Amino acid sequence: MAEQVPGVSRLHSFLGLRSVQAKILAFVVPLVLVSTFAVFALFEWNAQNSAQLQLQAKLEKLVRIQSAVIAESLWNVADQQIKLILIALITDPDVIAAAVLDDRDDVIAEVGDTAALGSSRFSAQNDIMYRNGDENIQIGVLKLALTDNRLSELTKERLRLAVFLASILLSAVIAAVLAANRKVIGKPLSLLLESINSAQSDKPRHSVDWSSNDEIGSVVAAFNDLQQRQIAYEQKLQSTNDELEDRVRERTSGLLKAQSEAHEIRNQLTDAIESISEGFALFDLDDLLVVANSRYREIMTGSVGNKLRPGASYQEVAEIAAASERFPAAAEDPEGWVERQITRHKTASAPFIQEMVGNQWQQISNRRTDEGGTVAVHSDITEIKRISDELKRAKDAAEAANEAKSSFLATMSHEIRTPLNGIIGMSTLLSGSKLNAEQRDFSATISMAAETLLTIINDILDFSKVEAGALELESTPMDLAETIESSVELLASKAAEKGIELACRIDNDVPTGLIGDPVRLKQILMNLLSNAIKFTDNGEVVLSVSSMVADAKCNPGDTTLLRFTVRDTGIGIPEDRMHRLFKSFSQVDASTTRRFGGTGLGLVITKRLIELMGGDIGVESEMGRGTTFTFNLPGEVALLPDRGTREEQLDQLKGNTVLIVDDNRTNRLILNEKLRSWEMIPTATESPLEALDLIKSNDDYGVYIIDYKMPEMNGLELARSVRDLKGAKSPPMILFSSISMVDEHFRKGIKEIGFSSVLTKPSRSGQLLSALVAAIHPDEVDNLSSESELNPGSSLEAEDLHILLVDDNMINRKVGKKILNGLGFSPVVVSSGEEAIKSCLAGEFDVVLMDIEMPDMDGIAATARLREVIPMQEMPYVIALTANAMSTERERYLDSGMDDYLSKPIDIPALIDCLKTGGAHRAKQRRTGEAACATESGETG
Amino acid sequence: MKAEIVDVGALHKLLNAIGGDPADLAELIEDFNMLGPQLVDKLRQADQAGDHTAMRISAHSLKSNAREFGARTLESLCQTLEQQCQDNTVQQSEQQIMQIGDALAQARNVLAKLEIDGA
Repeated sequence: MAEQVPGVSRLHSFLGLRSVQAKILAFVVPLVLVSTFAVFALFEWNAQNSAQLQLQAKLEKLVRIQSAVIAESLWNVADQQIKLILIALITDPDVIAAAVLDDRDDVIAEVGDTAALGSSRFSAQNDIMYRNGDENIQIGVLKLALTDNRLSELTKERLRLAVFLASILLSAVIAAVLAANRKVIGKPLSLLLESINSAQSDKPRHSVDWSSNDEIGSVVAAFNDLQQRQIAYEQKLQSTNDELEDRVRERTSGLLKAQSEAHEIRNQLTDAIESISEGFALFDLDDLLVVANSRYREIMTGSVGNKLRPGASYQEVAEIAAASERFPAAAEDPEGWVERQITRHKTASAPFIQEMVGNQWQQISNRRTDEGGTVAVHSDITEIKRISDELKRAKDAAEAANEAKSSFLATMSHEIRTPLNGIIGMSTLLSGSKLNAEQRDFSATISMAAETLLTIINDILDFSKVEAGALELESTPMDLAETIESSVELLASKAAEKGIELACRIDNDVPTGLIGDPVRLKQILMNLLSNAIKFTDNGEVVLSVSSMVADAKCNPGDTTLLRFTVRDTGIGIPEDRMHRLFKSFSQVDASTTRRFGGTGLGLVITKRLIELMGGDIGVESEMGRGTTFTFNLPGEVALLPDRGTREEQLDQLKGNTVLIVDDNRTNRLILNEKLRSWEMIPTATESPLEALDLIKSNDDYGVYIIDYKMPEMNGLELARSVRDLKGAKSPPMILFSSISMVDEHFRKGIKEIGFSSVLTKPSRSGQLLSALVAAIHPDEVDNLSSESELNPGSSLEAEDLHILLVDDNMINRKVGKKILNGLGFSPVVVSSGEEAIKSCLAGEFDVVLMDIEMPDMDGIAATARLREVIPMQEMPYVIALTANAMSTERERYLDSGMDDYLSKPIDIPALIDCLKTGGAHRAKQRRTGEAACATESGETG
Repeated sequence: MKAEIVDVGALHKLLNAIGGDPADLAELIEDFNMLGPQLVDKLRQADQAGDHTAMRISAHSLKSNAREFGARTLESLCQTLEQQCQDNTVQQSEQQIMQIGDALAQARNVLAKLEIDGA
């Protein structure tokens, strides 16, 4: 159907036939017309033929009949008659003309259109015969012409009919075609069309409701099927589509969400970067700007405008900054400045501070990111710097004020001390004069008040020093046991006065030598101990020292941590007052102050000292039961030179038995432990009577250690009993006492009984060791004691060191000489600066111990003179000696040409140190001097 | 905390320092008995002459001796005078010197009472 004859198609298009109907009509109408025409023509031809034949037949018949009729008339020459006959003849409609001719061809009669006689197709002539008897003679001719008009009329009639019929037929055909077309094709087609249109116009598809068993029906069915499939397909497509769309929507929404989130985050980040008050910029791996906030732009370029585009290199940024006239440093040397910025930027090292115009300051931190980029943060620290400068000024001012305060305190203390000493001196003198009881009481009160005041002032002096930071700690090797025990010893008399036991216990694993400041350690210990003694009325005060680090004892250079504990059985400190203990000018309470005196500075100073030494202090207390102060001190183990001697002494004591008689448990325990650590075999008892029983029953004790003050009988009485019991065979006895040597009665008792040693409690380890060695091996004593702790200088090469001692004071000279002799030196001693110079010119000295305060020529002047007259490489090592015990003086002496400094009374370990240093100095001097002499002579000043 | 006329601890220390022989200490104390009054005389002379330098040196000298023997009162009196001389703020020197003389006498008194031997 798709194929159409091209001509028809052209015709159709020419006719504008667009509808199927028209196309069918175009086929049907001509067909009907042609076939109608053909049928009519055939019919007409047939009718024409038969009408003509009829007409011909009628003509011939008429001619014959009429000729016969006329024959008689003619014969009779009745022309009228003939005429009538002819007229009658002509009434026949078909007859148009008739003529009767005689035998000579004369017209006898004629009617009608005679011309037609010759021309008409239907003309005939018949001879008119007359029968005259048997003979027929021809008497004339009848001519007759018929017309076909009636035939034409008929034909026309038929034609009209045919046309009419054809019209009806055509109408019927057309109507039928139209009806059929409409019914059979048009409707289903329009339904199809509608359905298609509806599908096309995205209206819901519906199947075409048309059923017929023809092709259209098939087409419609096929279409419906197709439609159905299409619908199914579309539905499937739709659902897939929907699914896809859903997924797409989902994805899209996810994407949108992510995008919006990313956008939001980006915005937030941008906002954040933008809103920080610091200048912020990020540069990538190649130092190209990635992002910078307005503040950064403002800082670098002076405006927030977009001079700095992302992608700009740091160098460009720095150049823009240099040109922005915002950096004073850049103005002087822009290129150098830019270079410096780049270097700093690249190294991304520690933050640095930069000045900007208008006394603005910024701190710049460059940091590397993980990706290798650089983040630059420029913070405005103008305010901070201003505050910091202000703070610094304030701090300086405050420090100056504090220093002034401290110095004022020191001066004041000093100033107060002077009249106070007067008061003390005078009240002492007063108490020596004749006074009545009341006056004596007054005098004692004055004296006590003044002494209290003096203590307070000393504390304040110390405190102000600590506060002013003027306190310098020494760092020298010290004999720990010696230092600790001497502190305890100094307070022994005080404890004895109050009748309380003072004990000191140093654990065996505590190193013997430690690097530290012995003077300050003593101060700490004395402070704590005197406090403890002050607040204890009966019982005991025990100092324990232990090592917190195992096995640190043997190796010099090891770091150790020592724990010092001062425990008393005193009044205790209430819980709620404990925190005030270490605070300045605060005591436990006012009543305590009244009762015990003191500024409350002692513990503050102690705490500061301990902290200065790197330690810490704590306290525990129970009301009425006592207080325990504990402090820890770190320190470096030092090697002490006299270890060998000590080892020898310990060797001699090993395995010896000792009987200890002491009523104080703590002392007993300490002694017991100490002796055990020396590998002796001690037996201890608290009761003298029990001791006597022990002696009676078992008598192999190598030595007795007896406490003087005991409840049942005192040490002297016990010793007497032992003497009585054992006589001359009595083993050596060592007496422990708290009573100083001033008590004459006591001394006499001791002499009478003959103790091998009398030691004040608590005794120093060294003393006890020596006393035990002396008791057990009396022969070795001299030998040992001369080499023992009294001679720690033996490690010096004594005979090689030439010492000159200069002092105007005879006693000082003697003391110094004896000390030096004791150390194995033989010093030359002179009494003035002039003499010293003379001696030095006369002979070479290694060390000069020079008193500072001398008449005529003081130590400083003498030393200066010495430096003038003595060649440099022969210049002795000059040690200043002075009774001015201020450590601040030290610098002054060193500045004025002294090599070293010692305060009087002379501290022997310090002296040994100085001499050692001096010796080493001289040895070095000699070596360099020799070297100098070898290369060039006369280079001496 | 009584400021002792003589601090026995200091004496112990001195004894130890000079080698532990009580005889030596006794000798030194004897010297002090002799030298001390001489120094006080010097103080007086210097005071009369108005020579603060001499007075300072003598005070210092006596102070250092006092310190050796633990004569605290004497030491502090001398220290005071020395400091005043140093600072040029000498006041009532005569009185001070008298106190010093008394403190010396007391110290000597105590020292003399001490019986020092090697026990």
